[in-house]
Amino acid sequence: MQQEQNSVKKNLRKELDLIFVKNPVWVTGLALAPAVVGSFTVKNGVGLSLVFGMVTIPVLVVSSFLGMLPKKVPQYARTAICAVVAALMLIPARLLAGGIAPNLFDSLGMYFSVVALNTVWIVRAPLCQEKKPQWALWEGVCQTVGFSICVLVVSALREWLAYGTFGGNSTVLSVKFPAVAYAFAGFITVGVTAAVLRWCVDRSRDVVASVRRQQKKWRTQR
Amino acid sequence: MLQYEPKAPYVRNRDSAFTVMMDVVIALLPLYFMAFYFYGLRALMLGLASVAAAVVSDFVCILLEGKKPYFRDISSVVTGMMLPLMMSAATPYYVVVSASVFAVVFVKHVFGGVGQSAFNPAAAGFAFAVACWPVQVFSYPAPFSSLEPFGTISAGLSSGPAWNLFQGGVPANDILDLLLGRFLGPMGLTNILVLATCLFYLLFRGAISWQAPAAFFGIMVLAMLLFPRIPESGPMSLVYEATTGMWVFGGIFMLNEPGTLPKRSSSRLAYGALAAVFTILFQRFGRAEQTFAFALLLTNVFSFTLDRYSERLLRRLRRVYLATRTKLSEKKSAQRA
Repeated sequence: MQQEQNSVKKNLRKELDLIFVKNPVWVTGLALAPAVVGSFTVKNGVGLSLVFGMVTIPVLVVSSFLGMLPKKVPQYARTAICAVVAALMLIPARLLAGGIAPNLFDSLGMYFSVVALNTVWIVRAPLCQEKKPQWALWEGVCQTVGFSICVLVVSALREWLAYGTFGGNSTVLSVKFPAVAYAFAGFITVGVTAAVLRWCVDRSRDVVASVRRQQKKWRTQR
Repeated sequence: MLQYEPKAPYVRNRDSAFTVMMDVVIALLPLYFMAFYFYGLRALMLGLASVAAAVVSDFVCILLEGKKPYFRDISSVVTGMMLPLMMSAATPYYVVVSASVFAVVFVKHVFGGVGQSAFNPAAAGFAFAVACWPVQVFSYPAPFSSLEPFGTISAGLSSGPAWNLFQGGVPANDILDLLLGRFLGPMGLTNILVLATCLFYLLFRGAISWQAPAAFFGIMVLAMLLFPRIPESGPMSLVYEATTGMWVFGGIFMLNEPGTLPKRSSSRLAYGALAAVFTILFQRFGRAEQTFAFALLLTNVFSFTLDRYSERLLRRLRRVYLATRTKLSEKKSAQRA
């Protein structure tokens, strides 16, 4: 019983790493196209996160159910089923986006559909076939949170620098850099934020290690 | 007496990166002098602001990388000096400073510092400024108009003859004015005679190689003579294009940047030719009046590939030559026998 609880905790923590330590965009480099090109306003960022979640979570859960099928069903057929599910999930995503903000679908343009075939589920779906559905669901949630954090940070930075606004509200910025809304600046922003994240993760690891060392020292002294 | 065993390479060149960069700085000084003559103190102040921004951002990046500052590396000074010369003398300070910082931080240091950058930092900085603030970069004051060194400019600003060419029209400027640089344009690019002197100085000093500029200027001149984009004769079109365009300045100073230039002579020739082709295409189909920087950035991508392919080609040629030579010698020996 204790062992089972420990393994559940371990799995929960492992998937939580997807938010920062193994972030799908910043660290793994997955789903870069929508994160780089489409995220130039906070509104777009929210829309992309929404569509990503609506597509990725069901696909990962479905792929875990596909793992229960007999081995005779080939991998390409399973991937095709996942792609169909992802495409079908765009319909409720479109309705939900329209309900949240009427212009969200138009502002996303082609990136709305591009997110349906994101590399996160293409890479992770075959691996999720060996997982239980609840763990596939948990992974999908963590992937979505990680993607959303990255996209929202990048889009907020780009909107602020390019238009001097945050979510459409004007902020204090005397000099604006309109070129930051272009795709090349998306790559630079994702790169710079990834470097900052890596620095923060490294420093936090150092801090945790030094605290543990100190605790060990105190214990031995006692 | 030497206390250590010398290591390869044993051959040492007189020219170091510092001397080459210093030659470029010296070549840029007359352009600043001319800019000062035409536009007053503001031209120099823009140059100073740009150089200061480039040097400070370079220093900060080196410290962040955990390296030791190397004070004989003056490549950031060269980048800082080049940028304002490509812009209007009335350009606000924030434009020049932002372009410098972008060039040094995101183009030079992101790729690993001096000699490692995949793109020309000055071209990338200028492209960034054009993408962000095209109106400020391409609005020019008249020569000899009194420009305030700081604050807002009271003198009238308008587009230059390069805009007329871009629109397909013929500039109304006098030829002598065009040759002497007395027309609306970027503060360092209008003096074609000074630029030609700079080219000869750099070639004479060995700071730049002749291959890339020869191929580049050869193709550009031929294209202007044979296929003018304005309703004028070839030679007139060449005069208009050469005096108002950025490609003369770029072909001298930016094309020969050691970090992005291919290593082999044959690939340098191909590199210059490719830059010329891209420049012509951008001139015809581009969306800005000065497009050389964009063409150069595209050419930079092919630098490494050109080196690799030229090496393969030379190796094949060498094999063919050796094979034919051995065959001939075998034939000769057979005949003798």
